[in-house]
Parts: sequence; C-alpha cells; structure tokens
Amino acid sequence: MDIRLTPEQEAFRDGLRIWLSSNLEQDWDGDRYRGPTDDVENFALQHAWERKLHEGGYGGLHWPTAYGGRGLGIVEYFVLMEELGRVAAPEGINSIGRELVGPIILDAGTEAQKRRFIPRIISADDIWCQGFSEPNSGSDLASVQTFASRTDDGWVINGQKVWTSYAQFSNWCILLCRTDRTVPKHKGMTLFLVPTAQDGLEIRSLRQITGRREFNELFLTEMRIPDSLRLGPVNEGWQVANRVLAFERGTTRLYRQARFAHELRGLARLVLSGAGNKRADKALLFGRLSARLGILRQHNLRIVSRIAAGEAIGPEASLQKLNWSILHQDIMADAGELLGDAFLEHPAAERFRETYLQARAETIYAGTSEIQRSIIADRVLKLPRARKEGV
Amino acid sequence: MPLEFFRTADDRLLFDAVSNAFSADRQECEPDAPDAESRAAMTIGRQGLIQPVNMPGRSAEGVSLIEASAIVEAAGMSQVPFALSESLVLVSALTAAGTVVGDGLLNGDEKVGVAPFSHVNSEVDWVLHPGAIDANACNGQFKEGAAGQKVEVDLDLRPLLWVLMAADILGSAQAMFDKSLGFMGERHQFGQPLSSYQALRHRAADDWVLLEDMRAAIDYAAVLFDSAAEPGEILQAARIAKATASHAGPVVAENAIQHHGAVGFTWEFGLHFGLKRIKSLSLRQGTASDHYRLIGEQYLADIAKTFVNSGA
Ligand SMILES: Cc1cc2nc3c(=O)[nH]c(=O)nc-3n(C[C@H](O)[C@H](O)[C@H](O)COP(=O)(O)OP(=O)(O)OC[C@H]3O[C@@H](n4cnc5c(N)ncnc54)[C@H](O)[C@@H]3O)c2cc1C
Repeated sequence: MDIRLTPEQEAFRDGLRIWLSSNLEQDWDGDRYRGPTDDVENFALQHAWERKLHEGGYGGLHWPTAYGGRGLGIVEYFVLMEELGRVAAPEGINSIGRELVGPIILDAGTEAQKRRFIPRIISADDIWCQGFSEPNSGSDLASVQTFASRTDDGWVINGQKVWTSYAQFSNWCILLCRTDRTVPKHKGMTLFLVPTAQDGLEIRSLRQITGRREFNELFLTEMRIPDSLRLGPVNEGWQVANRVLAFERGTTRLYRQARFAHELRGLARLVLSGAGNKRADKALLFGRLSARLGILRQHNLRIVSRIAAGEAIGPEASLQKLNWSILHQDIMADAGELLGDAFLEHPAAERFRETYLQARAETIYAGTSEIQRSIIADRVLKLPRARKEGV
Repeated sequence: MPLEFFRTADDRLLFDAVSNAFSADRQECEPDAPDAESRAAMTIGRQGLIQPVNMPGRSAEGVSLIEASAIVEAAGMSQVPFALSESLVLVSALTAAGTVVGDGLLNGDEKVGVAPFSHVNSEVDWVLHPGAIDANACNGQFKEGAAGQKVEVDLDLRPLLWVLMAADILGSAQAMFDKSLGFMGERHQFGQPLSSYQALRHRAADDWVLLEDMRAAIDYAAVLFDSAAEPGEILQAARIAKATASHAGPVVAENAIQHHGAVGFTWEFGLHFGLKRIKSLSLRQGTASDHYRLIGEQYLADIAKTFVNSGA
C-alpha cells in the first residue's frame, strides 16, 4: 500500500493551488460559497466559473485528447476535485454533462456524437440536464412511461418528466424513454439526446424547500427528433446507462469530502468565536465528525486507487453514496447542537441553515439511501430473496 | 509508485494463510476449553506469527503494520484466544530497543498484558505500559512480571497497539457478521428466509458499511505508520481507527445476536465469545467517545491556530 502522490502529481497539485488562489474571488468563502440566492445570478456565476476552469486547462482532465480532453489519469482528476472542494469552489451548473452524459457518450456514443458533444461539454458551451424521473417513476426508474415511437426519419416523443435539475438553464437533455411496451420493463428503454429549445418541450420550474428553483417539470408533446440523437442501441437504454453509472457512482462529486471538511472548519471557527451553544459537547461532536470525514476520504482514496489499477467499481460505490449523504446531514444536525439559538439567528450561520435544508435532498437523489442499502444487500452481500419481485 | 490504497495480492495471501492456519486448529482451541489459551499459543508459535513490527523510521527486519494488522484480523476472525496484539507490540518494542527477544515470547509461552488490567500481575509474564491515552506523545514502558525488571523505550507504542486492537475488533466483528448472513439465508419464518425481510437486509447493509469504515480507518493508520508519516498524524489516524472500531464493532456484534433470535442468546451457539472479545477491546485503551473527544480537542486546537494566524 502506498498513498503518496508522484512528484508529477504533486507538481500538478501545486500549480492548481496557485491557479485557484488567483482565479477564485478573494472573499469566496463563508456565507457566499453556496452562490447567490437569485437563481439567474447564481446560474451566471456557476457557468462563468466552469468556463474559467476550462480556460485554465482544467476541463475534461481525464477524457481523451481526441475529443478535447487532457488525457490525464483518475488520480489527477481526484487531486483537482479535492483542491476544488478544499476551497469550496463553485460546484458548477453542468455536473450532469460532466459526470453523466459525457461518460455515457464516450462509452456508447457514435464517433459523430463524441465529436459533436464532448468538446462542448468540456468547454461548458453546452449545459445538460437529466430527464429520467417521472411522476410515477422515482426509485422504480425502470417503469418510465414517456414514450418514443419510431417515424420514417426519427422519433416522436410524448410524456412527462419531473425533478429535472437545471433544465431551465440547459440547452440539452438526456432522456430515458420507453420504446417497447411489449417486453419486460428493463428491456424496452432507449436513451435520447434532445435539445431543450425545441417545439414540443415545455419546462416549468419548481420551488424547493431552500427557496431556490433548481428542478423542473418537463412536458413532452409530439416532440420530434432525428435518429442521429439516439444514444446507444434501441431498447438497451437501461443497460447503457447502468454500465456507466456503476463506474460513475464511485467517482461522482469526489470534491464533496473536501467541501464538507471546509464547512466543518467554518463551523469550528464560528463556535470558537464564541457564537456557540455553551453546553454543547464540542470536542465529542467535532471529533466524531472529523473522524468520519477522514474515513470518507479514505474510501475515496480506495476507489480512486482501484480505478487507477484498472479495477472495476461495482455496487460497492453505494457505500460512498450512503456515507457522504448521511454524514453531510449529520454535520448539519450537529451544527444545530453546537450553535443552538445562533444556528437560527446568527448571520454567519446562514450557510448552515441553507445547507441543512439542501442536505435533505442528498439522501433522496441519485438513488435514495433505502435504494443504496437494497443494492448492497442484493449485489454485495447477495442475500437470498423470497419469491416476491421488487427492490 | 502509483496510488495504491487497497490490499495487494500478497497482503491477501498472507491473510488467507493465517486464517487457514487458525481454522485448521479450530477444533483444538474452542474459546471455553480449559486449555484454550495454551493451545492457541502453540498454533501461533508454530506459525511464527509473533514477529516484530517495524516501527516508523527504524530498521526494517520485521513485518509492516499492514501485515501485522492482517494477522491480528485473522486471529480475531477465528476467535483465537490469545493476546496476540499485546505480544506483537512488546516484541516490536524490544526489537526496536535492540534487546534480544527470548523464545518464550516468540512461541507464545510468555503472556503479555497491558496496564491497567486488574488481573495483569497474576496471569501475565510481561506488563506493557503504553502511557496515558490522552497524551500527545509518550514513551512506552514494559515490565517483566516475575523478575519485576522495568524497561523504558523511546517509542510511542500506542498507535501500534490501537491499530492492532482495531484490527482484532474488525476480524471478530466480520466473523459474527458472516455468521449472521449465513443464518439469515437458512432460517425461515412466515414461509420466507429471514434474508428476504427488508428491515434485516438494510441493517445488514449498514453493518457492512461499518465493517468497511473500520477497514479503511485501520489501513489508513497502518499505511501512515509504515511510511513513517509525521508522528502527530500517525497518532490521530490511529485514534480514528480505534474510535471507529470501538464504536462500530459492538454495533455489528450486537446486531448479529439480534439477527439470530434466541439461539444467539445461548452459551452453546457461542456468539457471546465474539461479543465479549469485541466489547472488551472496544472499552480498553480508550472508549469510542474518549478517542472522539481527543480527536476533537486536537481538531479544535489546530483550527484555533489558523484563527490566530489569519487574524479572522
Ligand atoms: C434536489 C433533487 C434533484 C433531482 N434531480 C433530478 C434530475 O436532474 N433528473 C432526474 O431524473 N431526477 C432527479 N431527481 C429525482 C430523484 O432521482 C428521485 O427523487 C429519486 O429517484 C426518488 O424517487 P421519488 O422522489 O419518486 O421517491 P419514491 O421512489 O417515491 O420514494 C419515496 C420514499 O420511499 C422509499 N422507497 C421507494 N421504494 C422503496 C423500496 N423498494 N424499498 C424501501 N424504500 C423504498 C424511498 O427511499 C423514499 O424514502 C432529483 C431529486 C431531488 C430531490
């Protein structure tokens, strides 16, 4: 075992730190790091940051050079994620493009699709959203009803999607549609790449518990698209998406651990400045949270080094999804314990109030905690089931 | 050298070999047999498992802590009734201090205890004094019981001891977890295997996560130790390993008993051996919250320093 970076990787990290210190706004910290509360302003800020990262040479870091990537390894990508998290850099608006659509296109797209879409994801010229969930298909995603039927020159799509994050700011959407109702549900779905500014697609934003409008409803009515925008084989959309997702779940949002550590440091500063609840058991709460953050990072190290060694990451990635989402909620719960009244009132606690609410979503999206536990029970522990079907 | 934070094929081979050695002697060393401890000691001695662990920055003739923790984890997994961690720590300290290690210690005839044990003086040949758990650094001492001779070494033995104790908890908890998975698959109620019930499936998933958390924390502390990282960093990582195992070990063990129903409560079925082993390891050398508090004090002290520096 060895967890040291190579001299080249260390040089990469040092260069990145210098770049960050001169490119991130000086007072980007504390209250501001969640971005402006105004949704449009926030979009502009997040998008500008993504462009800046690309201009600095940090876009598409571990993607092939043939499509505009830098061709570096997973370890450099991990270093980038950690450094961005460490300073709580803006999370960007195109994580669906970078972490979901890009990898699926690279895995299953045609050469033309790769050339067309990958460079524009790297440069943040295209912003993507993910149209998977529907009103009646949440955890049971394979039950989607939005239907794409064949026409002479392409497809016509009808249906409804919901919880589609950032659709109002996106120009493309990856859509999971049913294309065959006569076969078992996992075998009749296909993926499509659809432009959002198109007849037959209506987007309505929904307000979240944080007050922000990030997710949306999508209404698809007789929306026509050419066959060249189909991603992967007909009726294999589920398999195509899952092949990539299994790998991606382990590496998605690797910056989170470092970002949470940044939040915990901010909380500690606030408590040490005297704002805290005097009766809180500070040492115990901070000790437990910082220990758990340490373990979260160790799991990241494990996943990254396994990928670097050419191993496949399977359902074990569910462990990380469970761990980070629950730990983040626990940090925010303990922020309440540590701050007491100040959690509700102190101006400098605004970030914790909002993050407390935002963290509610984290055990819900990208597979709820219950679904992650089921994945572990099924595919890691292989616990025998009864006759009954279901998750 | 690429980033490599997982057990290599060699590490796994060692773990399997040691596990096999212990399970071959399984019948002989049932934990409540009258002579269990000496039989276990014989197995351990025969296999040459008591070897010095290389202390950070010292000569490297023994095993790494990664290897030693795999050995101790295997011992925990087989419920070997012998204080292996303590022997490993003592032999490592003697070796690092340049003292000759006698055969009695190496073949397991001489027993080692850690102060303050209530029964320590009557039952063990050596007493290890690793120092207070809350000190930032401290030297180790050990005393030969019969001769009463006291030796002090210029080494902090606590990280080594804590990581090995955590590895023992991990192995013991893994064994109980494995038993409970097996039982859930076989036992039927309401016409279905227990493993079909989501409440139990999900608790098993949570227990598995706890086991993996322990493993990550142990490996991390061990790899820092083996690469002679900064002593404060090693100490903090070892605390995290001990705190995590002290917290998670008993949870997994108690759930294993719950998942077995009444049979898990019988003496004969034997789950209590694992539970007791885990519980005592988890309370000795600092409980989970003792260590969490110490980690937190250090964390807050570090933040306070940056506070003053930045004037914020
Ligand atoms: C902030 C946010 C952003 C999102 N962004 C997107 C997006 O961009 N694109 C997109 O496609 N989707 C998005 N989603 C949707 C997300 O993927 C779904 O919310 C999620 O899959 C859960 O589905 P559901 O909300 O319908 O809940 P349901 O599936 O109805 O679940 C409700 C509750 O029941 C539990 N449950 C369900 N089935 C089982 C079972 N078999 N066993 C035990 N418990 C079960 C769940 O864990 C949950 O607690 C987003 C959601 C949120 C909150």
